[in-house]
Amino acid sequence: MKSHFNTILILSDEPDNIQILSDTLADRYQIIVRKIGDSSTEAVPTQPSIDLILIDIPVLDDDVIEFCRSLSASPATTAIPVVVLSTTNDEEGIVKVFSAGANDYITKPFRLSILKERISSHIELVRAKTAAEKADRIKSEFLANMSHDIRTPLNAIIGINRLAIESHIPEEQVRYGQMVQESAEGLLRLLNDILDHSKVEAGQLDLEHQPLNLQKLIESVVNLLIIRAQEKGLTLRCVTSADLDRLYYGDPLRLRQILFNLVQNAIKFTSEGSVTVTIEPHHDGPEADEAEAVFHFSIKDTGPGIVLEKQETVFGAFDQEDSSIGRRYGGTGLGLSIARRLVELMGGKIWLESEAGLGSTFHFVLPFARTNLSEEIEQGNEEIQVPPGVSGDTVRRSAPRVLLVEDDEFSRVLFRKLLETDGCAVTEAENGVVALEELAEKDFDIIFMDVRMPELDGLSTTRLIRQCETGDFGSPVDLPKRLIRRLRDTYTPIIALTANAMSKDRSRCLAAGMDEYLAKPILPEDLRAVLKTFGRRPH
Amino acid sequence: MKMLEWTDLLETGNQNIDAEHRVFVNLVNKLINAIDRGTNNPTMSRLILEIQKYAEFHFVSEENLMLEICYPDFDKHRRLHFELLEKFNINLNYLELGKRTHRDFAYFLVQWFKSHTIKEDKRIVSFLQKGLSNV
Repeated sequence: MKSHFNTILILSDEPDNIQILSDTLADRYQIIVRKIGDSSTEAVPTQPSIDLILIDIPVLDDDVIEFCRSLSASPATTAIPVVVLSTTNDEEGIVKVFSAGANDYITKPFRLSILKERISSHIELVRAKTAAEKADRIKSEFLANMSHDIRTPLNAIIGINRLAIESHIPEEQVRYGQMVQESAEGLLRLLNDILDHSKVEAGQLDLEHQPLNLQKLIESVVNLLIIRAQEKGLTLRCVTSADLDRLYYGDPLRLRQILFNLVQNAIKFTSEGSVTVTIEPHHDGPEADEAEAVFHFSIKDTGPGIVLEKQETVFGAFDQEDSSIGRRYGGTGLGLSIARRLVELMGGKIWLESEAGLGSTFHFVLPFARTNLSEEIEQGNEEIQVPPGVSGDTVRRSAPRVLLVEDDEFSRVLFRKLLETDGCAVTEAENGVVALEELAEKDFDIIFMDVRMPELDGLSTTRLIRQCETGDFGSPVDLPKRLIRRLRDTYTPIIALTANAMSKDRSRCLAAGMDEYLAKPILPEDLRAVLKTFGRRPH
Repeated sequence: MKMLEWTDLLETGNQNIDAEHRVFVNLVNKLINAIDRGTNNPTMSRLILEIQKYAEFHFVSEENLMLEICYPDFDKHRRLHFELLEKFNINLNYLELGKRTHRDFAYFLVQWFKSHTIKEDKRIVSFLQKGLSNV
């Protein structure tokens, strides 16, 4: 005896057919019957969930076509297979049903035995598809988790190696150190690509919506890559239009990633000549309206070009024009796939024009919501500043007292060093319990808090600290009186330091009461920026 | 079981239509014969399939004739064909479910044929003849 029957919704106004279809299917399925008269997608029950919709209609008409269309468009019903039965036997009508999204059409008169088989085949198809999607999601989540676990030690390798290189060691060792650095950074890039790819695949990537300056963003990408271009003897040009130097809403980090991937790719595959980045308002296609501006980005190179047959597939994952190229040029083959997925996620389109031997041009168009914000507002949260080698504020302040809560010993060594370089007085705690003990004894100006820790994790620790500060304990807690007294009516900024790079991790940290979030590996300049904002000692 | 007899009442007066109707009458009688002789089910199914295919063929054939002569009630008559197919299907399905016997089905076919032919097909023919006499 099966514990779970699939459920079929029969929509029909013909009592005989309702009787016939119910009798035919009742031994294998749970049956729900509704009138078709005023069918709307809301009329489709959600409990129990419907596995197949059987529409019985005497003759196809516009209403039933429209209904099929709305079933296939509505998120609640789009995945449910729809089988239509009617006497209509002309080509035009039947094609219309399918193009409205129906999965099958059966012309009356028909044999019930055949209907039964078709229904079970549709249900099996959905079951197999769901299982495949689930397996795929689990795989992607596994990849995302793996890269988290790899990122943590890699972060320490990169950071500590950087410290080693800068610590006045013999030149030969500096050279070795730089090799370690280059290899580790390459590994990190690969990891980031895999993480991004699996996040997009697993549907875990959420876009930010914040003001951005396209002009500055593009310049920063070009500035980062110009050295690499020059090393290869290439010219890297950027052609922009006047409209760009104002604010739009978008996801600066992700747009930067798309541009970076495409420009880096163009440089990688071009051995002589130039790479030109052009951005202009997009005039073809649907006209931009008052709420949105559409921009056309193109990246043109004078590289080997891509033969027509391969142009379709370059945006697929793990694909380079041929596998020998992969060995020649390096890289994961994920860059273009990530770029395509990000562009599509942002509601845009990406394509390629290329002729073998004459170079390639990658195009993408993206819509951006307009803003009324003035430039000053953005300066405050300017995210894209990469002036390498520029040291921070030289104005002397009294040393900020930092509590560093981190379970990984190597990471503690690294952060302590970075923080001390920036003039902080650092106290270490290897988990939340130790952190609370320190807080009961000393005052701090800022707390850097890892999230995943044994004993007491970063989120719980943060919640307890905030409760002590406000005196607002949801339920009685067993905390030292000394700690509660000391924290009462104070406020210490808490910054998350974590290798959980998902955007829902960020919101989880903020919800727990943290003030800011830094994803590992943490760049010294990011740390400096946070210290500048939060690390001031109260006067 | 009583055979479906060809009578003057069934005559529409159009040679082509009447010829097709006669074929149909023969097919129905073949089925009745088979029922009376207690023929096995697979053979019966083949006979019913033949009737179904012939009915579908005949409807398209009649529709094409209506289009050819610009029959004003084309849509209405075509709708009647769809209704006939719907009824045919319901009876066929009940037969398959075992809720009706082959005898019931043959009886349905006889009524189905008579009512449509006598009323509706004759209209087409009378329009056709009026049109011809007007020339």
